[in-house]
Amino acid sequence: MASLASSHVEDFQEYNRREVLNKLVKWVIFSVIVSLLPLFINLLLLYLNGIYLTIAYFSPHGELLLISVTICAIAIGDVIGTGKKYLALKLLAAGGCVLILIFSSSIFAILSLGSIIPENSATASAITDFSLITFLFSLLTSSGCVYLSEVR
Amino acid sequence: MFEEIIKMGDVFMQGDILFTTLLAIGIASLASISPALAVFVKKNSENKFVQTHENLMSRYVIIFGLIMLLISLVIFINILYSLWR
Repeated sequence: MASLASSHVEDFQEYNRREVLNKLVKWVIFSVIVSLLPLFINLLLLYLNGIYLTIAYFSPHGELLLISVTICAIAIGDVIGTGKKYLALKLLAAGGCVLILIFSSSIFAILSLGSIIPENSATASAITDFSLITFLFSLLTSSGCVYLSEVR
Repeated sequence: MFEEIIKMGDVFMQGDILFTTLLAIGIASLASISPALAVFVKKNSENKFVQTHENLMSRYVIIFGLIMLLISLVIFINILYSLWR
């Protein structure tokens, strides 16, 4: 009897683990890759026009910051209201995500205002590097939120 | 006032401000990922101590995360203040 009960528990855990994995794969394909598609198409068009591609062409005006904001917003929407289990941990994860969202939004606003000046020292490669690192951090944070949203 | 705001973008990319902003974002990310890591460890652990002390672990993670979030927020407010000045 006890072994039957433990096997049920293991089945449930395995099922839940599979659900979490499915959710993460869905998030990677339909949130991360799809939102990066405009940048990849832009790079493809540049490449087809014979331009030598560098990392500076990837996000010269901080477009990755906008994508970070979108991904964080999706993750917050996923984690909020997904049951009372681990509620405090979920709220903490969502709080970190909100903070990164606010950082990215305000930095994008500052950078886009700064680009109005022609003699601005903010180079495209520096902005790209910064956006890329911010994007990686937001991916990390959002994946945590998506994971927590499915754990029951 | 508008010109001052425009100059903020110019100032932002110079010097240590960029690095400090990345530091703030990294700390916020650490605070946010730690709950997911704690739950992941608990769910996939065979260790009885981790499983029976779940509430204790959650409490430590929450305190750690809140402190990290606070540090991150203070750094970012400091950056905005220094840009404004």
